[in-house]
Amino acid sequence: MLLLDRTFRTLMLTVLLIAIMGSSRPDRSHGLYPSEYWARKAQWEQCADVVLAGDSRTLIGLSPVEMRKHLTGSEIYNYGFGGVRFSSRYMDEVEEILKPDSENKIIIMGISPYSLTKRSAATGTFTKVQSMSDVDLFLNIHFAPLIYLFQPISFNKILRQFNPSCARVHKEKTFFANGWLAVYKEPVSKRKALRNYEMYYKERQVDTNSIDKLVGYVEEWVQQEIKVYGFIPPSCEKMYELESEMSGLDKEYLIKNFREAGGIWIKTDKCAYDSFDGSHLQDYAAIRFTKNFCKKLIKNEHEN
Amino acid sequence: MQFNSLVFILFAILFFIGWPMLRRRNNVRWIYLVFASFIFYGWWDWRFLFLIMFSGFIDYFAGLAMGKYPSKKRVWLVLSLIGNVGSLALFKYTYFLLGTANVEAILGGINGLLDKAGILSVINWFLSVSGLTGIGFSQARPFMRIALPVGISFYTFQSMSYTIDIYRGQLKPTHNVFHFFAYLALFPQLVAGPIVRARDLLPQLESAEPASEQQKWDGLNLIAFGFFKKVVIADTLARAVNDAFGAKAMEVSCAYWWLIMVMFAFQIYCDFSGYSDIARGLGKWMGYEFPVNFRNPYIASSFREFWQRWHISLSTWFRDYVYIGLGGSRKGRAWAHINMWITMLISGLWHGAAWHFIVWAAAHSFYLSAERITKWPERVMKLPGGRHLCTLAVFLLTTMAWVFFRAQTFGQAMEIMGIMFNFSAFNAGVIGEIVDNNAINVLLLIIGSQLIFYFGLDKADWTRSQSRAKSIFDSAVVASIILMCVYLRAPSSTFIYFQF
Repeated sequence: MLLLDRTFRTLMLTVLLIAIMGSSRPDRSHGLYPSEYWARKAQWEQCADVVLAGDSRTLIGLSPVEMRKHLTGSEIYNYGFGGVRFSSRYMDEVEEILKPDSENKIIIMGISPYSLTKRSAATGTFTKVQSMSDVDLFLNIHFAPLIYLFQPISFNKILRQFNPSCARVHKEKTFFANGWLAVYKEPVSKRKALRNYEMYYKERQVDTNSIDKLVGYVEEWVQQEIKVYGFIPPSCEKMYELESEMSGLDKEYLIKNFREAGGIWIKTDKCAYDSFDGSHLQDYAAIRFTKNFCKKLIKNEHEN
Repeated sequence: MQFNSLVFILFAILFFIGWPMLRRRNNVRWIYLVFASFIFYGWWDWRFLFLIMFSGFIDYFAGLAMGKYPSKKRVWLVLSLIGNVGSLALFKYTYFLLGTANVEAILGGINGLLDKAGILSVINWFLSVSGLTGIGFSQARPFMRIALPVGISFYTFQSMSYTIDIYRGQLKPTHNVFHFFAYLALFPQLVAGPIVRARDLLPQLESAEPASEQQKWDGLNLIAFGFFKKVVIADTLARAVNDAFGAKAMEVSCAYWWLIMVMFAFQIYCDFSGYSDIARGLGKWMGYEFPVNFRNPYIASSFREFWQRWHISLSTWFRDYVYIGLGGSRKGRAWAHINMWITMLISGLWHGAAWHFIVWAAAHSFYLSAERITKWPERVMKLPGGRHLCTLAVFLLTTMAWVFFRAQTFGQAMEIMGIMFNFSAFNAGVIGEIVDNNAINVLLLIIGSQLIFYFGLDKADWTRSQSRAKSIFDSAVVASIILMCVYLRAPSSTFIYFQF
């Protein structure tokens, strides 16, 4: 009787369609499942020789995969988070990731003006990830495919699957197990990010106390025989101009104090790489930047 | 709990597992409904259940008293209205009527007196034991603020209709308190309507009949399409609209703001009518019929018609209990206008205790008055393509009025209106750069679906076919709609009308 019921039949058909759709999603992400990626990142502990720390520009801009080709034999992890601030909690976590028995401990800090602005430490992905409960972490790691089965799919991705010319924006994200988030987006649209940053810096500027705090950590790490490198992550020319004018970052003060604390400052070419939104690098640009960054790192090693 | 949450889906599954067994006997059925509804509402904040009970008991006993002492029924009605309007005034309009600074000063004064009298420590002890902190009471200063309970305007109006109908002799009071609370707190429509009259729902609640096969199928359709309207359309549009209204620097583009306002027009329609559809669908699965709340309002070709299609249960409530109560059109044309303005302005206040809601209501009152005086829709309708022109005009004027409804302040609304009419800054180019194209896609989808109703394609012969092929087609459509709800849903947001 139940099988003859149209409502029941329709619900059964729906379950079947969901199973088919979920198992053949057009947007099957590359690398880890997103929820799994963040949950695993939250659990890293004493696993790295080299830790890359910073906000989304470091998260997206530095590839441990590429870095390993140049710094062979090192376990490298990108511990960048969108919107992260160099707070004590974040710095302590960065330190926790280093292997205690590693002979060549390195922390590489991508220091953007944004990561030094005064704001609540409770903002950004880092706080969200850190506040995940044990149950959430367990579910996100062990049931990632099931969670992903019910994740929404962008309308654009469906369109692109059937007719690539229909979709206006193409965006690919790859979640790497070593923490890199590779992003490719076309067409490039810089207006929105620039405008957001402009609005942001009108309200908040770089806080000198944040620099002093960061430098304090550098000093402490250097004393513990950890090599600390610092750099300003590349973005685009307009963003560079905007941040020079509005962010309130005194670069000379930052670099001078960073060096005095025993850190090594790496000068980067801030506008030589392709950015998809005026702030973050395209995946291929991130690989190129990582390669050049490593060359500078090695050169610096030889010089010293 | 919200319809668009996992916890509600689990709750509904458990409820409908128990329903076939527990609906057979009146008392068991009513207690089950009250129990489930209180869990549903208490999920937000269980302490507000006392407010529903307070409001409910006033009307329950007022109803009984009116039945027992008919000669004094006016007194009981007034007491009931004071209780209901009083709780609305306290929780919803205190800040508006007295001003934030004054309310804070009053609360501060009460705190000071309590502190001096040493009562504060006793209250603090009581608060910590009873857990009343969430409704405006805190440990350090007991009276900090007055919180707005979810859906208070809906259940208060529903409760008031019970006593007014008894007073008018249109309804006999129920003597069973569970029967009454099953009506008042019935979870599908408790927090955002449709507002169901006691005379329509109380008799249905006495029936133990299970839902028919047709009701189950119609219920599934309503639930599927209701969720689609909410989680796919309204929530997708919400992101673009919230970005626009929440931006620190307002985008100065006439084209952009017209697009955003059209998006908001459809966002609020899909959000609210989606909720009503889900509520009606759940009602049908229980075997109950709730009134239709929306009939594609944007295809209306006059404002009178618009209000016959938009939030029908509230419009008819105001018509029956306020407009007709004031005398309606019985005292002549001028009074009909005045009564209509009063009713509309109260309706604006019902939506929110802020001036911009009153301006929104005033705009609609003006549209309705102008329409009655000039009869412009009838005149325009005679022109070639007149109906299309009327529909477009009504839609655009309604969209303009939404600016006042959505804006956070009156000042923001005026600024947006200024940009919308600054055609020299049309600048359509920014749309492509700023607005998410998912939002554009769903906007086109909903406009397309409205055109189907506008041109009456939904009434074509094939839609009424009883053939097996049509049945399979309908099943496939509903299954696809549910599939889209799962995979094309936008990040969830609260239903807009919960704040009312």
